[in-house]
Amino acid sequence: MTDSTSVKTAEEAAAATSEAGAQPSEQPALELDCRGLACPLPILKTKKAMDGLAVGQLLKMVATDPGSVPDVAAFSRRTGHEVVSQSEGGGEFVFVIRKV
Amino acid sequence: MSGNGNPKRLALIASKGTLDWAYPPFILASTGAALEMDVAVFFTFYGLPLLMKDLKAKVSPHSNPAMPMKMPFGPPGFQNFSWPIPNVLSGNVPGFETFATKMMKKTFAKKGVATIEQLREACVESGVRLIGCQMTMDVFGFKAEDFIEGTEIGGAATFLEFAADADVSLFI
Repeated sequence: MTDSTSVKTAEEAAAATSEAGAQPSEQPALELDCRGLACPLPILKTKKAMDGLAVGQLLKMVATDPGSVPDVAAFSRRTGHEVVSQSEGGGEFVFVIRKV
Repeated sequence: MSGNGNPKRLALIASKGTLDWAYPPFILASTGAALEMDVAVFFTFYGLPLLMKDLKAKVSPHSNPAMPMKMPFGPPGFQNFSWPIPNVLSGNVPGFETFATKMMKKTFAKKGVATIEQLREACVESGVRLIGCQMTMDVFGFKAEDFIEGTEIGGAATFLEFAADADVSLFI
């Protein structure tokens, strides 16, 4: 589900995030599909994906495990990354996390 | 490393080698590393074979009298049903362990649960220290080359030196 045309360069993403807060137009640098995966795979894959991003870039992660809601929050508190947005619909949980 | 200052330290002892009991140490160790903790796992006694290249962990209903027996196929109501298989039967019928192991692996795969091999690989990749117990090796006749690459061999002192500064220590 990763759209290669939406992948930004680190410079572009850093420029976009130099303004405070999340910009509505800001596109995730990477999309990660964790649907159907159980604990702890969504967190392990999220960590790996975050490691590949530049500071300031966004990761969009989609999961179906309801446990990923408290777990992504805990992951972000421990690692310092920022959950920019979080939504739920149709049994799917969508997180947008900024690398800090 | 972490948002709260110094990296936290997680020290685990893995002492059980069945398929079901292999999960907690590898889940916690890999997740701890993902949370940017420093992690070490000491594999001792029956936990030591979890480091072998050829992982043969099985589930044994014998030592888990409360283990629910689930079927990995059929409609949800059927899958969620716990089969009332008496322990005297599950513990004594030849081949039951192999059967139960197959069922558990299938059920886990269907539910999107990682395999032990995947979690172990995640631990290796993320720099978790995997310490094999020298004394257990000697007792059970294992050799260092039986274990996966990256396995460190040590004793109680090796583990305790790390665990002495741990924020979380668990015996599993």
